Parts: sequence; structure tokens; C-alpha cells
Amino acid sequence: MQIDWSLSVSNRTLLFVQSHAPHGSLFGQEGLDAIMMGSAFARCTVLMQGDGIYQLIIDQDPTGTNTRDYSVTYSALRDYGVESVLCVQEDLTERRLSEDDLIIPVSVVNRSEVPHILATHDVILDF
Amino acid sequence: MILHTINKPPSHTALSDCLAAMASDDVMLLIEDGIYCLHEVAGDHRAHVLREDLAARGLSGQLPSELKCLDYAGFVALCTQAEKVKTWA
Amino acid sequence: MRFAISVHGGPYTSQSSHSALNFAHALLAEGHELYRVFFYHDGVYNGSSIMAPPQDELDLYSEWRALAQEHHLDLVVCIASALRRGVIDRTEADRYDKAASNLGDVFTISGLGQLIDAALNADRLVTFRV
Repeated sequence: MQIDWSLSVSNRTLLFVQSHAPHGSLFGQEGLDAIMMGSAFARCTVLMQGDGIYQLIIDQDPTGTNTRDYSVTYSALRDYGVESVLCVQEDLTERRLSEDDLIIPVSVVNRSEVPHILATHDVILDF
Repeated sequence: MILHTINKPPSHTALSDCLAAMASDDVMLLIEDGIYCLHEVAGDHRAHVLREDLAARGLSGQLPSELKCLDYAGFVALCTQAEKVKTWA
Repeated sequence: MRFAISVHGGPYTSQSSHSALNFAHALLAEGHELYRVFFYHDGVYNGSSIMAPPQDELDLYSEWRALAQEHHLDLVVCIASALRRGVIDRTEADRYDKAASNLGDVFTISGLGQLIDAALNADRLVTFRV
């Protein structure tokens, strides 16, 4: 699906920061709901920060916990016009994860690039 | 310039995550349990602490002299001076 | 300046709601505008009109209510967060065939679009997290 940004309501850019692991709390799931909504109104970037990267681990199976596997919803973000899902190389390394462990392709940045990412979006929404 | 708020003690990753994400001209405000980071941020000219949360935790007497102490009105003012707010929790 | 506040923490579970309330008072006292307060996650419990804290503790619901009435504030609880946690107004109680409703009259129940709108239209969005 192609998004025509000229039709979007706002020229302001939103940075959503997901910093919680999934299942242990609902912050990630409700944060993702906000990302989906945001994508309808503005240009959005998602930063999976710290423990937030755990949300993207592939093969989550919460049938025994009765919590929701919303990781699959991340696969739909591109269709919603969210082109950039970022994660930090050091966050991956510290958690013994690599891009192969993740359910979607991500743009991996170095930790030293985070200040620039924060600076280049108009509003930051933290979850 | 970004205002970073921290509401977790130094045992949590919020402080180190914040410090790694701060630009040299950003500012930081310790609130709630972030107050307990006051010794860790002593000497960082970007750091501020929220007076009410400091007092509630009984640490007013331990405030490093170089740290800037703000009340809620000062918190609001810091938000107006910054372009946006990033919350570390 | 036009502010928006997002509250993530449940009242009496974390300090988040108390901090948000203090911040709201301060910004209004300084002459700024409060565009909206959006209650998300457990923050939606701030809208429960039936909370009954001990008399020597701050009644957060009543505090929000008084502030909203004085300054004509837009207090919004997220509908998805609120419904799954049992914070509902009369309309939703009827829709879901529930025996009671508890959302206070100064609060409105609405969608996440209200958070995005606040993020895009306020000069500053300040989030109070758990």
C-alpha cells in the first residue's frame, strides 16, 4: 500500500519508543495500538529501545499464558506506512539477539546515533 | 534541545539509557524515584532535580551543591525551553 | 504555550498520577493552556468516580474533577484501555450489557486518535509513566 504523505493531516513527525518486553506487561501491546493510530495521521518512526526489542522476537507462543502474540502485528506496520522500525545494535548484543531472531526487518543503528534520532522527530511518544 | 525526565533509581537502566541518548545541549530532570540518581548525575551540568520529589524522599540535605533544584513551575519552564520531552522509565 | 499530558500509571499504584496532577496545576498557574489530558494504560483508573481513598490521602478523581471544572479541561480516557480494565461510561455499559458504569462526568471515553491529535496539536506532550 502506498501512502501519499501530502494527504496526511500533519507534517509533524512522530517517534514512538517501545521500551518494554512483551507479555510481562501490556505497555508494548497498547503502545503498538498507538503506533497504528499515529500512522494514520503523521509520518511515524518506531524505535525498539532496550527491552522493547524483545517484542520483535520471532516464534513467540503465548498459548499457555493466554496473553496476546501481537508481534505478528508488527509485520503489518509497513502496510500502514510505517517504513522505519529501528533498533540499537548494542541493545541487541547485550541481549544476545541478532536480526535473524526478529519477526520483521529492522534498521539497526548504533547507540551513538540515538541522540540524532530523538532530535530529528517533532514529538516523542514513550511506551 | 530535549528535556529528558528520569523516574527510576540508578539500579534501573533508565539513567544509563538516558545518558547514552542525551546530546551535549540537552537537559535532564530527575523526578519521582529518579531522585535517587542524584549522586550519579552530580557534576553533570545538564542535570536538574524536582524539589518536591527530593523533599519527599528525605534527601534535600544530600543535594550536591552544583545540581539545579526546580519546583513544578520550574519543571514547566524547562518544558517550554526544550523543544520536546523524552521520558525514561 | 499549549501543553498535552499523557498519564500511564494507575492511581495509588505509582506516583505517575500525582505527578501529572501537580504538573497540570503548575502549568495552568503559569498561564499555559492544557489542551488535553489523555489517560492510557492503568492511567484510565483516574476516571473512576467510585474510588474512595482514606480521608488523609489525596482523592485523585475529585482533584481531576475540580481542576477540569475550573479550567474546562478535556480529560480523555482511552477507550481500549478503559474497557478492558472495567472503566466505562453509561453508553458503553449499555453497549456491553454491564450492570454499572463508573466513569466520572468530567471524563470522556474516546479513541487513541485523541492521543495522536494531542501529540500533533499541542506544543509539548509530557508523559507521566510508571
